[in-house]
Amino acid sequence: MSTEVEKFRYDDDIVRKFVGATLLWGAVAMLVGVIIALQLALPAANLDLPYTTFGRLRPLHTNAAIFAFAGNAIFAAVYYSSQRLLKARMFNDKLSKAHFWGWQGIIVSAALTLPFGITQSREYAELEWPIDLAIAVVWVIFAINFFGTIAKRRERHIYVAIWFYIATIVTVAILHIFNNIWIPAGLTKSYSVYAGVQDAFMQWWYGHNAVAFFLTTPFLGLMYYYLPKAANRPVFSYRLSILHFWSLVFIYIWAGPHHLHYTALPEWASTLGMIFSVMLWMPSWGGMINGLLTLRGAWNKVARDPVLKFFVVGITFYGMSTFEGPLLSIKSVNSLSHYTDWTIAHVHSGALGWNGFMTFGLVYWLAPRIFQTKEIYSKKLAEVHFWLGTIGILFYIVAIYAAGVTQGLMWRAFDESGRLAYPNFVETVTEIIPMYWVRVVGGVMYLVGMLLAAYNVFMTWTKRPEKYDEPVIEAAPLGEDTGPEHAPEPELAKAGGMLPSAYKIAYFVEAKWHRIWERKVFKFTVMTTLAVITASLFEIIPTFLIKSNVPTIASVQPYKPLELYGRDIYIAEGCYNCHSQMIRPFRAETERYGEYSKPGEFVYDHPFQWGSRRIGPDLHRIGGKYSHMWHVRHMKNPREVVDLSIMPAYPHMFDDDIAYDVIQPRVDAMAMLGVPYGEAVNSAEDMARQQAEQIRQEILAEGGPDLKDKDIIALIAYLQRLGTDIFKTPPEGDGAQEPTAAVNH
Amino acid sequence: MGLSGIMGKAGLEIYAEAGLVIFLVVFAAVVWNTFRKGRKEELEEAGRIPLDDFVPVHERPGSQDDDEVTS
Repeated sequence: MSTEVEKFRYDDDIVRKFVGATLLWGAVAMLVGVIIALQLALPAANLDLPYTTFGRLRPLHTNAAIFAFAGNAIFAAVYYSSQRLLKARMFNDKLSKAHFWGWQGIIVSAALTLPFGITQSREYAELEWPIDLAIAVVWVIFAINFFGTIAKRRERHIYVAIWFYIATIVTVAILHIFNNIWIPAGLTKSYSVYAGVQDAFMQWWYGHNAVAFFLTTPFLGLMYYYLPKAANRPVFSYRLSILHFWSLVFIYIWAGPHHLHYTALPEWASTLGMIFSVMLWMPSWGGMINGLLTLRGAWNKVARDPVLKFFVVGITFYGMSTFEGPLLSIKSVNSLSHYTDWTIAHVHSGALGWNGFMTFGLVYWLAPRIFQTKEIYSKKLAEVHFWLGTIGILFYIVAIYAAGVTQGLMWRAFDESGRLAYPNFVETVTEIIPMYWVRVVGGVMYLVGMLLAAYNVFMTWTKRPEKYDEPVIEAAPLGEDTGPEHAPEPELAKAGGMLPSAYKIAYFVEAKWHRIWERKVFKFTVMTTLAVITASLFEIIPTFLIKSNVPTIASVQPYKPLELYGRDIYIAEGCYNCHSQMIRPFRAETERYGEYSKPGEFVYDHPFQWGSRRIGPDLHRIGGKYSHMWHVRHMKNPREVVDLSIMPAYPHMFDDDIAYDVIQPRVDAMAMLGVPYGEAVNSAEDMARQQAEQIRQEILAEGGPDLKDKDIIALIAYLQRLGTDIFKTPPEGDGAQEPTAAVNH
Repeated sequence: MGLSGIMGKAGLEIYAEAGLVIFLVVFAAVVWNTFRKGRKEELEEAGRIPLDDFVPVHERPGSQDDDEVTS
């Protein structure tokens, strides 16, 4: 074995950059969060501007919080810890810089497109196709840099934090690619190749696992490195951390369908998702306990160290969230919680408590080290931040839990005569407005804490030395691996020799294969990838291939060109952020909204618009329910027709003209996806103009204003079509679709 | 019969059970490997890697002990 020692330096400049970006984007994400929280309590805060409505800003908030705040924190944590755990400088400094600037460019692109209604409408994957491509490129750069660093490492054993980082890099790549397969219909518009049930399934396979592999596994990697560092003691049980890793990787990916209980998703997929969600309890709590017990004998430090305070509360929130997640996946609980603020409270206990507090602990621990100041600028400010943040979270989640349960119970309540106790949806909204105000208070407290952190780190930065010291590190290069795979024979064989077949059995039984994975990064990565892909395919292939999952309904026809354009307005305005299009098969829902939704009704929905929250009522059967004029007045000023409504007004729809020239390319793109558009492939614009004129005349006949060629006409065309096909007579002859199948779910 | 027809007759109601069994087998294998008596020392040593990641040739000015750097 070589005794040569190599000298090298760590690249902390890239860590400093990512820490700065974390704080900057964190402040933006939380500020937008406070604004949209205020809009729900005070609709006037929508400002009647197209760029500031809740539907457009909410995706900006979620994307900024997940990919800008948490994303930059992850990268800061990975770049700092990986170099030290692998005893190697990052593979290539230029790749590090390309990663940093590329990621910031993506964030800026998101901020410049989402408020303009440029969106795919797929939750947490809203960004349009050119940005998707940029994300793929930057992620590959990150992966090359990361795996290149592993390849030149000087530490044989790959520490468990690195395992979590590997799982993150591999899985996020898979999720991003397969969830973002689209046909472009212009530079800022695309249609998902998936439709309806399949699209919903893919979206929540992605959405759930984005939480798993972007907001959980990298933060667990972070926990397994930075918590021992901050506590100055090894993790309580390294062996438990191994179990934690493999169980999460294997189980998490299966659990996505729990987001779609009682929808048009097949029953078997829903049940599978529930079972695996409940199984997640074990590894998640194993990890939480492992984290907290790492502090055994060091709890006295927690009292005086804000870094450990943030970590302890963060890990505790991890435990709470991962207890609650499986609970919410149980169908009977989910029937109450789904579409309510209960889910929002759950998400924020995880995001603010787990991701936010782990990030703050990380930043406070890193700041004096990367800026070489020995101490953070103000420990007292960090303490104030901790308490502001903690109380802010409690204000937020307690209020929103109460709001969720209240609204869920009101939706399903019947009076003595068997009728809905609260038939007017807005009654269930006004009831929870006080809780929305409490959320604003909690959110402001959390935001102030965030700003204190940014100030504290900025002031720490101002105390930096004139020139950063770059200590020289020395470590021996890896010599020839004399690990388990090179052992002449397994331990069982040593006892007295054995036949070749017995040798192989012993090799397996003694699990030397796993020890090899732990040292051979390529094999390890392949196994992790296999675990993720296998679980995904078990669910995805049947969902896509089994015809009976989505029975065809002959009367369901493609949207007319103007309706398609109107649907795109619905998507651009982010209506799915507040309205579902999925009536579950419960009496309380069919009484309120009408016939429950069938899988076959969504076969032309590229992308699906089922939504995940009902801040307003479900819209699947809105078609024909109200007159055109009702919609005109409602969109101009919702409170004119629904007193106490909290919906924003959309005056710009009465000013903006229908862009007829984009309709044909969009119809063509849909036709490429297999939507049977027939004659519309050649005459979409003419057909759209005819339908627009017809609706214009109908509005005039109802005593309304002349809205010739305005966007509102197209939106009305779409809304009036929604959910009506199932009640129509199927077309005859060539116009008929596939043979009619049973429509019962 | 097409692929979708074959998949339709594949008896998918057992998927949840099959998934559960696969998980249990892999989980049992990982537990076995991780908690075998012979691996305790090796893995405890691996758990200390984060605490052994800073070996400077020259000490940082004013920072003899990395753990003295506190927040």
